[in-house]
Amino acid sequence: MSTMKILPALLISLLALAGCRSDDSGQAPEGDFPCICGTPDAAIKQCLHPLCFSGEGNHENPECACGTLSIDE
Amino acid sequence: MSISIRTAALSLLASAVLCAPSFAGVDVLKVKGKVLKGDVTAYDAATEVITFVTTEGEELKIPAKDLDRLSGYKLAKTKVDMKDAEDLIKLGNFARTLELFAYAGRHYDSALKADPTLAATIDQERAKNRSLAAEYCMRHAREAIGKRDTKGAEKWLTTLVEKLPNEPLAAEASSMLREYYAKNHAAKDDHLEAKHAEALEKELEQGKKHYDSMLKKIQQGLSNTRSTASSRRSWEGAWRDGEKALKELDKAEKIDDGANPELFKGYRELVIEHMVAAQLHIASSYSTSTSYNQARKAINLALSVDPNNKEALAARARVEEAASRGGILRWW
Repeated sequence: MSTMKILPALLISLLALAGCRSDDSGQAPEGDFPCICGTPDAAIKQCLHPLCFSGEGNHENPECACGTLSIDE
Repeated sequence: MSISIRTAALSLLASAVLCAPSFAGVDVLKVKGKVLKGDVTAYDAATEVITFVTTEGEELKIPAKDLDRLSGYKLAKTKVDMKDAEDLIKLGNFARTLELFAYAGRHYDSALKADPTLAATIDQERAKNRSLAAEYCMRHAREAIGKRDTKGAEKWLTTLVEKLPNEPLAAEASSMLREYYAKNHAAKDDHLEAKHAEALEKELEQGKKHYDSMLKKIQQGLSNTRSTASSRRSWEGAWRDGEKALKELDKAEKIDDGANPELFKGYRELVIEHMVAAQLHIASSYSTSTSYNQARKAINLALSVDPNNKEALAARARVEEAASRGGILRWW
């Protein structure tokens, strides 16, 4: 596929992905941030863990409040 | 999950509109304190029961009321139409009930974007959010004080003063901060003073004066409840004192000629730590008033003396995120 064809396809894919995000989503911050979900700090500050910041949620942390469940309905 | 939280969750779920899931993958649920990993394959709105298949292949039927609070919140988000302002307000109120104030604020932001005509209602909910968040900060500060954790007390009191400056509890927090800031910070160079008393007096007298003045000004900024502009001036003065202290350290270290490396390394770290703190206080003050460009400048100054400072990097990420949400929107 030529570059001219790939670019529009890539843009459409990115737009579709952006449309699927929850309202927690944001551009992932630079840096290595631990998941603070479930700690008292998280109540006041946004969790900056990349998965939390993107709106997906950190599946490794059972206290994570970011993201949604993936109910197959 | 308490009865009121459960009621709020079920009421929200009952009124929610089905929204297609955004993400696939392993779901993690906490049910009565037990962690379960697997997939939620269905949710029956009529019976409020989740069908969950664990990673071991076992199928479980879990009543929504048995979910721990954060899993209940994730389920609620799954079922809410994220473009419906009224649903988003309910979701924000539910997050607030769970003491997830920042999360609540973001749902209110989204609700306002979805329907600006609901601004008055959203403002009322935000006011409740701020008030409860202030109580939450004060409760944690008092718990820390009870455990003689002065650093924890300072952290929660500072959060209250900086993020919720117009709440009635902020004045009390500010007054309490005077004591805890002094206790925590004046003692930080005690070990250097004790070990290097002579060199400190001979070579670093002026630098130490600037350092002490810097601490005093940071404290003044935190204790000032009258004006944020005045607080910022105190912190800017603290930053300048820090710059002077660093210059004095450079001069004195040349004269010392390697005799007391620990003294200079120790003071340089302390000065930089407090210079960063001064700029982060300024940044926090500006971001509270949604002046994100000013906040960015302050954070960049902090990073200019400590490029890998985790708090400054986190502050930058939060400011960028808040700015990207539209500049005038904020949860506090």
